[in-house]
Amino acid sequence: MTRTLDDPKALVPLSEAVFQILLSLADEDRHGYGIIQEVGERTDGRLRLGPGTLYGAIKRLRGQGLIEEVEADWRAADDERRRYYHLTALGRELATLEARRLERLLMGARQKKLLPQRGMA
Amino acid sequence: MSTRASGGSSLERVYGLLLFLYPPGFRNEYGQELRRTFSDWYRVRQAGTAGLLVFLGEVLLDLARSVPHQWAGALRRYRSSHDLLEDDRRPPYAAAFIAGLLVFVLYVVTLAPSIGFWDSGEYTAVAHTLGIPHPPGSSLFVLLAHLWEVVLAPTGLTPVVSINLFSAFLSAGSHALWFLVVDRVLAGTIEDRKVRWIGAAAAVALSATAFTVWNQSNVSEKVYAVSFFTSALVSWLILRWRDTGCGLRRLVTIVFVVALTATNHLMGVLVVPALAAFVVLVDRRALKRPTFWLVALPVVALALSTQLLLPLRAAQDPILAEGQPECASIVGAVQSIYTWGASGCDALSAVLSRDQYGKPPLLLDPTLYPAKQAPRSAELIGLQLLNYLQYFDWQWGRGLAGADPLFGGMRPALTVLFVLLGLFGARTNWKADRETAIYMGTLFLTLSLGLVGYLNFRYGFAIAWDRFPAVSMHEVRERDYFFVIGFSVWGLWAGIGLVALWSRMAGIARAKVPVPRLATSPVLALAVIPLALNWSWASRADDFAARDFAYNALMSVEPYGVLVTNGDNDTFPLWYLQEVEGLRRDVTVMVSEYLNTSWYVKQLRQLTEPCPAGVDPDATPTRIVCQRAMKPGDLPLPLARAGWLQATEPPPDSIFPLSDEEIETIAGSYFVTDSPMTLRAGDIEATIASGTYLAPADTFVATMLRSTLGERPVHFMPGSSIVSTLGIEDYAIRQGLTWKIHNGPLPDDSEDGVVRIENSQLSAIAGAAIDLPLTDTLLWDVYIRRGRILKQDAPWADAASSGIPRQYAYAHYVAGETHARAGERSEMDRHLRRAAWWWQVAAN
Repeated sequence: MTRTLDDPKALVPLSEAVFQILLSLADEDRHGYGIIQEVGERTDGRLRLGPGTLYGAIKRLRGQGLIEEVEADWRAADDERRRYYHLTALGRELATLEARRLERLLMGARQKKLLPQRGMA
Repeated sequence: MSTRASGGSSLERVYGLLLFLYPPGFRNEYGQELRRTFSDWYRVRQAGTAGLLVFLGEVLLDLARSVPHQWAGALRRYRSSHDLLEDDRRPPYAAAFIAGLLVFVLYVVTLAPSIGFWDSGEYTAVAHTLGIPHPPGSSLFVLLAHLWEVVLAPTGLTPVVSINLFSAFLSAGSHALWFLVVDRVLAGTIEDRKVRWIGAAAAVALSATAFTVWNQSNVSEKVYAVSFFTSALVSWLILRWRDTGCGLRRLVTIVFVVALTATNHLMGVLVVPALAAFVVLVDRRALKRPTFWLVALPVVALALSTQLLLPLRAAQDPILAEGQPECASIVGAVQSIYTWGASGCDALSAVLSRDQYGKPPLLLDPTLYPAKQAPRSAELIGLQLLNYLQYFDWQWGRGLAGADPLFGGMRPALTVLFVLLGLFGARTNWKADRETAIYMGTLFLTLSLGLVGYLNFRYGFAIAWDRFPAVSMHEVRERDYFFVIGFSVWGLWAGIGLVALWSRMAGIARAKVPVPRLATSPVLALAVIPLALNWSWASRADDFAARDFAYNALMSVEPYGVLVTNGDNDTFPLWYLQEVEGLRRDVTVMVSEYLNTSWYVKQLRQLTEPCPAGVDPDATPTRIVCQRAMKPGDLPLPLARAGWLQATEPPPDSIFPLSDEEIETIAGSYFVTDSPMTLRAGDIEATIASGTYLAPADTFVATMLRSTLGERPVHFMPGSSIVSTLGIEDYAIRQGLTWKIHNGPLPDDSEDGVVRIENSQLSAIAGAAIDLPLTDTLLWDVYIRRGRILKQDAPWADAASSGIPRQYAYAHYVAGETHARAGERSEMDRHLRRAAWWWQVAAN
């Protein structure tokens, strides 16, 4: 049973794993292993999602209506048995909320000169 | 990264197994994806051993993180989904568990510390040795009870206590399930959950303490505890099936349980009419779905395969294998099992279809069958129903005028009360939930009137003796245990009736004055009446009578002796003592009832074969190998002093030096002698009278005497008809509880203490003579007498086995009379006092 959230703000802040999964689906629908690969590459191998962790998160995100499973359509010829996941509008909104939250944190750190200002080496 | 494909398949299989750590819902939804992702992950791991180790570490870490997480989520979801339901619609599993636990405690407190009479010794022995009991073989019971004993072994409990606990546990489990059933039934009429629980508790109390239910739950005398449990289980499952949307899975589970219980005893299958009625009422389409049959039939086949234990174990020559259901081929065995004995392997089919009992057809009079094929008369049916009512009357207050088995004293008044309560309960059930009312009603009718019709008993053990004095026209014992589940069901209805009565009384009272419901609660005390009035009759605590009788009988037999026994009560306890406690295995117990079969004689032939050099039968004590040795340590000191230890060498021959063909020929040979026949065996010469009917058992005993008298001591349990048939009464010397056949003419009263019995009436119980010193030693110094029977007010609950205490009384009486002839008054008085004491035990 899928129960969508009334207010995605209630889920912020997100765990890093969840945020990274949402990010990996932001530009493209992916299957499970595709998500692991993309997250691994984007984080330079720092975050390695295991299958159990990944699908546990997928199950939860689907339950919250943040991602959904999509038909394999054209990918079928490539890999017909895989299940692909798509970021829903709600999921995108939540990922954006989290990104903004992180951005604000980042700005604060810059103001306090913990990090260099944008554009500075 | 490098790609690796080789060696992955075995790891993938292991990972597939590890996925079972996840909750089923998660595994079903994502298992395939997890495996696929794992494969992908594995292929791109770092090369080399180090890479593999890192990879495995990551997998384990991933499992360690995600498995608890998924279980926590699953539990949360489970709880929240149930919270969505009305709270009091949830089955009260915890309360049911507590109810079952209390019943278990009651059964443990009143548990038999050893075997009881009748089948208890047999079932304990076969469970312990993985043997085969009497037809229908009860393979499921043997497997479960054996496993149970193995599981409890580390507790240090004796095997017999463990196996008695098996019965108590199953019966208590049945009552936990009954609690759930009654709560569900009451849900249709009582909103207050706590009141429903009180009703369910009352129902459980009345069922659990009904005399026969209780009396059969604190010992493993029958296999019906398994049938009882499966009946309660499927009753609960079928209610859940209805309440959870009539799903296929639960219905198939019920089919499986019913098929499985058939491999214990057909008693458990008697729920089928009730199940069928319920399913038809609730969702008759369920039985029309091809999917149901497609799944159910293989499931039935799987459950019935339990019966394969019989031929497989029989092929290993277990020490107890009644019917020896051995098959030449597995095909024949399978055919027998799946045609339920209609074809296939003869020996197995005979066991499964219970051939040996020669049950009369339903429409014929069993008291005359097979000699005469008279119809089952209305009078007979009336007496069969009376017999049932007699047992029903026992259930609620057995201790009221207990000595009178037939509607004694005030007992019928109490019975009427519980009949009315049960009827009120049935009415309440009908109003609350018609489907379950029809289920319970069908179940009760099947297990009461239906069984009376099907079992077609002879006249009851305690009724109609004035009109039908022939022993053969009566049952050999009381048969109340056949109706045990029906009595339990009535107890449930009575409990429902009681809580309904309480509610009604509370309603009436409150209409007049504002009193709490509690004010009328004393009426619930009716639920403990059977507990109070049945206790002394149903309890088996401290009862060692059967076990000690076995000890006393076996110790009466000289080393390597043969003891010919008469029936269940002087045989099964002895099997227990030999095969479970390991005492006096040198004695060959030969039950005359089975000597009309070839399989039994073949077993005895092998069991008494001299052992080849280097073969030790004690190395495989649960199998027949060869003659088992006498262990000097088995003999109590007085017998060792009497010189019994001198016979330490086993006899040189089997007791049956016969070929298979000769055994088969004799086993099929029934004839009447047309002239006197002389039986010469050892140094005796006896005459079998003209016109004597000789059954195979008589011929086999004569064969045994011819082959072994002089080599082995031969004893009979007193009263054996074979002794008189073969005309060897004049050689029978009483030796404690047994008669020993003297090898040759009796000596004159001699210095070794053998005294002839001159009184012909006395000799009927004494034998031709008595070995007085040895009998004195046995009766006073060897025999054990302890426990419950020492309390003079403890009832001997089973009248049909009261012949056992009478055996002691006879032995003391004969010894006392013989001392009297010698003028030894103090010895006489001592024996006669003890004889009177035993007589009183039998009469209690």
